[in-house]
Amino acid sequence: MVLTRLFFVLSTAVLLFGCASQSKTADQLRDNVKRNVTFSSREVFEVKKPYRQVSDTLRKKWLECLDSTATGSIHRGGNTFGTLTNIYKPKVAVTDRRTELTLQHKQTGAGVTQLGGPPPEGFFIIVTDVYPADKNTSRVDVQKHMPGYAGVMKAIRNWAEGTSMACPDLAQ
Amino acid sequence: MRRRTRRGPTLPKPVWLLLFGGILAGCSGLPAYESDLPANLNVRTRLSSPSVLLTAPLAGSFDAYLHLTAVDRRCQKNYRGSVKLGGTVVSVGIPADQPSYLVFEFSGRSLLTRGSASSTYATLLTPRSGHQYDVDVAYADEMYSITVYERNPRSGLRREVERRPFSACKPN
Repeated sequence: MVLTRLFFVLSTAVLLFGCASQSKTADQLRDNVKRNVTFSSREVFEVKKPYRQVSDTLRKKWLECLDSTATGSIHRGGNTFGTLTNIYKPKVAVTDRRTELTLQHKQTGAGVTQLGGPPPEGFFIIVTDVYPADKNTSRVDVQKHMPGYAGVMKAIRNWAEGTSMACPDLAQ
Repeated sequence: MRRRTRRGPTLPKPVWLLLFGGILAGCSGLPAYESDLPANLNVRTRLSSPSVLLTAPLAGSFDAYLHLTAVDRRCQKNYRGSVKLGGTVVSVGIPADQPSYLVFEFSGRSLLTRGSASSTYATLLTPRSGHQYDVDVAYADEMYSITVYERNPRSGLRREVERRPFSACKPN
């Protein structure tokens, strides 16, 4: 019982710390990355492929691989277990000049409260912008506001470069 | 001197742990998918555990499952059962000319951490009669790929079937 209480106290502390500046829009995420807030990072790279080709591949894989639900159970001490469900919502907006790929994240579970008033489909955790750098080169700008997700970052680069079309396991 | 009272049969803790591990490894608790239809869905799986904690020597497990759900004309789902995917090709029969919702799940459990995690990948498939559907499922390095091919047994022609989200289902 003591461990259960401790778990809830720690969980709440983590949630409070984490939600202080969680991104509710794609622009807010970009702004948070620009201000270098905690748990934000950015990766920009270019690929020698036309914009349309990179945009098409990333759009397809983004919607295919990141439309996912990951469930985990954790031991809270004694015979008490908690279940956490992470729901991911990928979205894409394409124009001739830019492809915007966003990933939203929502967490549910017994005793789990996402503070900070998350949007209905969750906080924005990754925003990827693809631009034409020149006729045969595309620039990919990946901005993240959440710890972890190295697998997603690796997958985006793989998809853009065409080295692998595998999906990242969002439960890992 | 306090007298010890016997409260029923007791087993040493390691035996309980082994029994618990056996239950985790052997009984997923999912209803098995059963169908009298001729097999038209053939799933070949290659799995590599993402963590040493999810391997048998450390009392863990890492498995893949396919959950099959029938979808009617109103796009209502009716869960029909699940199959565990393994080393050999798993073949099942699903109704032709009507959509089925296939959910692939990667699931890991660790007895040491007493935790579990799973993630899913789903696609809507409407098999054509007289065709076979071959699915390649691969998981390695926290990345997975699921590729569905449609094969015409008469002509031998094979083509890749794109993933369709459930939202692609339109009531008629």
